[in-house]
Amino acid sequence: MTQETIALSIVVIAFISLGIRFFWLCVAGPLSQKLLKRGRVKWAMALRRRAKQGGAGCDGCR
Amino acid sequence: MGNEGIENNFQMRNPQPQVALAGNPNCGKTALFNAITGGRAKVGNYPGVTVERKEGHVLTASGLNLSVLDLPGTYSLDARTPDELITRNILLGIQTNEKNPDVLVAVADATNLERSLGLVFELCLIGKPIVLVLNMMDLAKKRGLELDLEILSQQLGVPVIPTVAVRKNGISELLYQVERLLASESAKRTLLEWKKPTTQEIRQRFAEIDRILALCTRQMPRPTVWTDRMDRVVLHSFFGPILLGLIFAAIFQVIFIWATQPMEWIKSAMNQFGRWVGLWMGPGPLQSLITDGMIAGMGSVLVFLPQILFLFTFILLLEDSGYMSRAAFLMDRLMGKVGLNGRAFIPLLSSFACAIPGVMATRTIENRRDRLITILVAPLMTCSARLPVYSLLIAAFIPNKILWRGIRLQGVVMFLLYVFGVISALLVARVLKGTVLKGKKPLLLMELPTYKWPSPKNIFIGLIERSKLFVRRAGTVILSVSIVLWFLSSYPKPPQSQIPRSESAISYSYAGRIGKAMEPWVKPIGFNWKIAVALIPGFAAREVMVGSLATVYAVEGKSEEPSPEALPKTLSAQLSRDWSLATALSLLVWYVLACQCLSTLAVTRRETGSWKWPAFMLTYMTGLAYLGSFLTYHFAVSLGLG
Repeated sequence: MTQETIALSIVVIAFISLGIRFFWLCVAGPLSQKLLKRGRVKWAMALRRRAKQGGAGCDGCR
Repeated sequence: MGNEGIENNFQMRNPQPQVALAGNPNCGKTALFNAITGGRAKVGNYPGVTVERKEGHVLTASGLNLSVLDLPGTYSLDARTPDELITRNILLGIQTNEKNPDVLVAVADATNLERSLGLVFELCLIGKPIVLVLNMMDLAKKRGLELDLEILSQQLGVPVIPTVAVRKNGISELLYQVERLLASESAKRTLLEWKKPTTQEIRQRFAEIDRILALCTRQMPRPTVWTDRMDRVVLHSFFGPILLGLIFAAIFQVIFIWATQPMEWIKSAMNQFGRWVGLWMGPGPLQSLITDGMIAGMGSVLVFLPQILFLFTFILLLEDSGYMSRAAFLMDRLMGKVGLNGRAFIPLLSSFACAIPGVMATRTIENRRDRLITILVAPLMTCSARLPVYSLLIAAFIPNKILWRGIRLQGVVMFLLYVFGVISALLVARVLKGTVLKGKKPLLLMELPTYKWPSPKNIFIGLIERSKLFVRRAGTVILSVSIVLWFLSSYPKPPQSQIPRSESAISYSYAGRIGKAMEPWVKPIGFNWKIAVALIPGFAAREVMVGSLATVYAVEGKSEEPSPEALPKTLSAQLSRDWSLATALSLLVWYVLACQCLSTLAVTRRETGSWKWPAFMLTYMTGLAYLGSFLTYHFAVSLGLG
């Protein structure tokens, strides 16, 4: 495995990590509202439970 | 009835009994909650509102599994804020989707029984089984208070348990009483109806409290002489604000002086690690990723950990000692000029650490418009995430010279940036109060706690938590952003023939192209394309800007041909070579005013219930930052600093 392959794999992981963070921070909340309105209560509540609330950006800082 | 009997009797009737802790703010409810549950809480929100819900569990000595609910503090069941309304609804058993608590634990501040017993009286009228906890008994005894707890218990008709929650004293006795009540017939009582008391009824209640306290108090507590003496100076209308300004100015001076050496240690450790990676690994993309991306990016932020810790040490000292409430009181007059009361300053003070808890702390503001205004201006208070950016630019452009008797110019500039943030917040609040969110100035009614020696243990725990958060943030968000930015700055690699002599390879990369596309928009405010590129990831976390600049300059440094002059080794040296003072001042002003935090926008959406206010916040702050930077840059250029 070349250096470039390893480096680019790490970059992909970083991209995915940031994407997941963005999803939980900004998308999950409104998405759970939409799912609730469409009657998908279980999925909506599962999203809400896992969605980062409040101190997500500061990792729960006081 | 022995322990086993209690458990058997109750378990048959209710598999998961719930105990609710209720009391005035600052009576030690949360300390008691932590002492009972071991600090393990499930934190969420009450449905439909932004009030925090904190629930924990405890297994008693007799094997009973109790759920413990920490209710928001309230002075009375006559609720005025969303927090207090939740507490009242839960206590009355009318909160949607909430179980009716089986036992109430009324927590009272033993050093201030006269005020605390007002709520206890109201709770006794509800009809639920109650245990009265007199917390902070150690402080009360130190002040000479002697109480006959048996008489107090007889007069109130409830068991009374003295506790010192921070030392976990009295917890086992409390849990025993709770179990007794759960097993008794009083647990089956239905709730009585509550109605808002009349003024006459309130007077009668407090007369009754005075009568009971006269009966059960063997010795009155000594008056808090030292607190009153100190407040004569601290709260003086002239000396008070001056003292407040001097305290904060001194804090920033000390931060700069004391943090310098630890920062050097971290810097050299990072450099050493980078050299070791270079020796161990041959040149190539992976080595570049590690040294120019991860170490340069993450390391350039981690180096500011000592400054963050010193700042928080002082903030925690001031909070723990009781001074911060005085600061809010002093600010009331100033806040009044912009139409807010001093209570709004408490969330703004929290925003010095981070705007997110500051925005959440606005839940205690009764008036909805005032709450909105405070939320909208909280991000203007200089949060700790801005500190690395300020420190970097100040170190690069402001001479480290002594102005007068040890007072350094760099510390003064840092202090002025904080003052600028506060003034901006107040001015924006004034404009909002007079335009979009008009309303009357509310009265300030707040409690000033007695002064006490800060607890070294609390401060130490607070600092450990802060360090963990900072390092975790550096190792997650900042690291990820640095890696992505390294990729964007390094690819695509240009064919050798296509790079003009005057440009570096980085200008051919994705980051370079994005930066060049943004350059026309940021040139009027003195920014170059590298700053434009670094601003974008700054939205993920403000301090990422430092890491982003470090990565961009590190990648650029590698891609340039070796020149006769040695390239500056530190980022601040590179910036001072590359930028003008006018650009640096413009960027500082941008950072004071711009909304560079996605998390703040997300929590604002949550607290206000729509995207309208976060969008408004982003728009006005970006506009304000652009205008401020524009004026600063052109003024500085006109003075010959460009």
